[in-house]
Amino acid sequence: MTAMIFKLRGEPGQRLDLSVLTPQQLNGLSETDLAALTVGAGKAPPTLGDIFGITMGDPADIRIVGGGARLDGIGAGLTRGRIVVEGDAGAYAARGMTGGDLHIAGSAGPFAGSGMAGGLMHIGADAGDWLGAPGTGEMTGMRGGTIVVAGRVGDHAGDRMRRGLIAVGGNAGDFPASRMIAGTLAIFGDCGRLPGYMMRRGTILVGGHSTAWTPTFGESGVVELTMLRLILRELKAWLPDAGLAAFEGPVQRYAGDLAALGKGEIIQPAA
Amino acid sequence: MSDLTPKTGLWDRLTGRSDVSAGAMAGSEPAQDAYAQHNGVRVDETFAEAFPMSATAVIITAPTIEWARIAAISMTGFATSVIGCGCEAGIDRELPPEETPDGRPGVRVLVFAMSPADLEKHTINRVGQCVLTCAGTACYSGLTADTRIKLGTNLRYFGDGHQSSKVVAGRRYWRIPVMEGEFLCESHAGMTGEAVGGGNLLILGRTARETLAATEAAVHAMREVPDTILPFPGGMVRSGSKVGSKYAFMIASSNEAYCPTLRAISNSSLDPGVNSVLEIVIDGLSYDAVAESMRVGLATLIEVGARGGVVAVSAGNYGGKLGPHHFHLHELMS
Repeated sequence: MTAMIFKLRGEPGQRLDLSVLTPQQLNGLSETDLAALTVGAGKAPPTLGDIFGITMGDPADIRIVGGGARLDGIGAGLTRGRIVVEGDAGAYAARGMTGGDLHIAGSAGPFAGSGMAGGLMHIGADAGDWLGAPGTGEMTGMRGGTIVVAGRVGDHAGDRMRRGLIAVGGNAGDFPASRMIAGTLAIFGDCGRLPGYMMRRGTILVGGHSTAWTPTFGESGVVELTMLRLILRELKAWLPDAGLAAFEGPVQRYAGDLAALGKGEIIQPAA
Repeated sequence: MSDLTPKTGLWDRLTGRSDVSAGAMAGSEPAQDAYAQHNGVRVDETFAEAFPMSATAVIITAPTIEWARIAAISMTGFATSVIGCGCEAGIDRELPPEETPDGRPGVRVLVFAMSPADLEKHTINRVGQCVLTCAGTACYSGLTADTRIKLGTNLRYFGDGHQSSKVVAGRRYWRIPVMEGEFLCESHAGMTGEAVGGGNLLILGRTARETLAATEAAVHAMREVPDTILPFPGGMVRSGSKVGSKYAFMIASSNEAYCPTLRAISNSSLDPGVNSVLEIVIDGLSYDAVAESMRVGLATLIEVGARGGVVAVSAGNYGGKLGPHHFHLHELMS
């Protein structure tokens, strides 16, 4: 069965909530029902049919042709199946996702993977601030699954992350893995200020340098960590040119944040 | 003692009695007209009787295959029979880096026991004493199954609170700090209750030297069969046993019917030309794996033939009343 295709008719006039575009919500709907689904706000909220040209197909294989920063909530709550975005995504992509695959060929806005608990999100370009972070008022950020970003990410990537893996092929902004509870944030480029600020547990890989290392981390030796091999093997297919091999040999380990629980770590390739 | 002896506890379970003074194995007495000659080797029309076991597999990796081997050999030492060792364990095969979870050379080890609880206990003990302690190693589940036993999730306490876990691709691993650096161990290992223990071949030879050489050849070929181990030293056992003993405290004792030095004073099962007997015991993760191993071994022994000193090949059983798995030698050749 071919994919169900949503072709963007043009730049939407307002921010859209596309969290309805998941297999579990589209399954069994007719084309008419699909087209009538509301995806915006206001007195005359736009419907899917207003925004997209729809080609019926397998609801477990969704393809969004065209994209933009106003397409919010793509893949939010996804539990199974596959969504491919041939363009950019707005805010909250894969928010609360628990399974399935979301592939965004372009960039994603802020709060991508927020509260994500399972599945895979792959972003072909950049991601905004608060990648994998908690939503407003929530205690934990990402709780499972994998996020791979080929390009750069904004500030606070992995904030209050609890479990799972975020891999960034390029650079990261300030405060990566701030308040991290556990999990892994791998940055194969440089990062901004204070990586691991107030982290309790978890792992941060930094392939390059930080503009300001967090001072409350303690030097913990040059070691070989077999665990890194498992992570790198997972990422090899997604980030073939990110310099993963630098972590296969001895690495420099720093333990912290000693201002918090101090059971986390920052790992860099050994000099 | 050989694995042909009913296991402690197994005997009670299968027979409903604790009296182990029953006689010798029935498979040693094939009808004289039931013999078949193959390359001069008599293959008895009998069968090996085997038993269900619980089993797991772990993969040990290390910076070099030598260190993975060291850990695996250490872990599988003193694991020839559940009677005296609690479990039976052996090396299934060596794995190239591309077949291991962490991309380092590795060894796959199989462990067999009479119950899931025994399996878990002995596997954790052996990994804890022989792999955790071995330089450079890591340990992973080597079997994908719905049922699992604990592994790293118990060993982690060695970290005394400094251990940490990492979930990668849905599997949990424990990182245990050690003086060398860090020991990585998967939290659980897959377990099967469909394993089969006690497949066997008896090699009756002309001389001890020829019997050893022929059995070595069979062992060499059988070790290529995946999902099986030959738990005894060098893959073979020279001290096949019978059930019971003249001594009340022994549940099994030397099987005089197969001892060439007792030929004149016992009810011997040995033909005049047989002067040495060796046995190969096979444990496998499935019935098919054990059958394939026995088939390969039997074919090799026939290939060695009478010219190589093999007089006959037989198998040990208990009359078919105890073990549900019967491996008929003639069916294995067909």
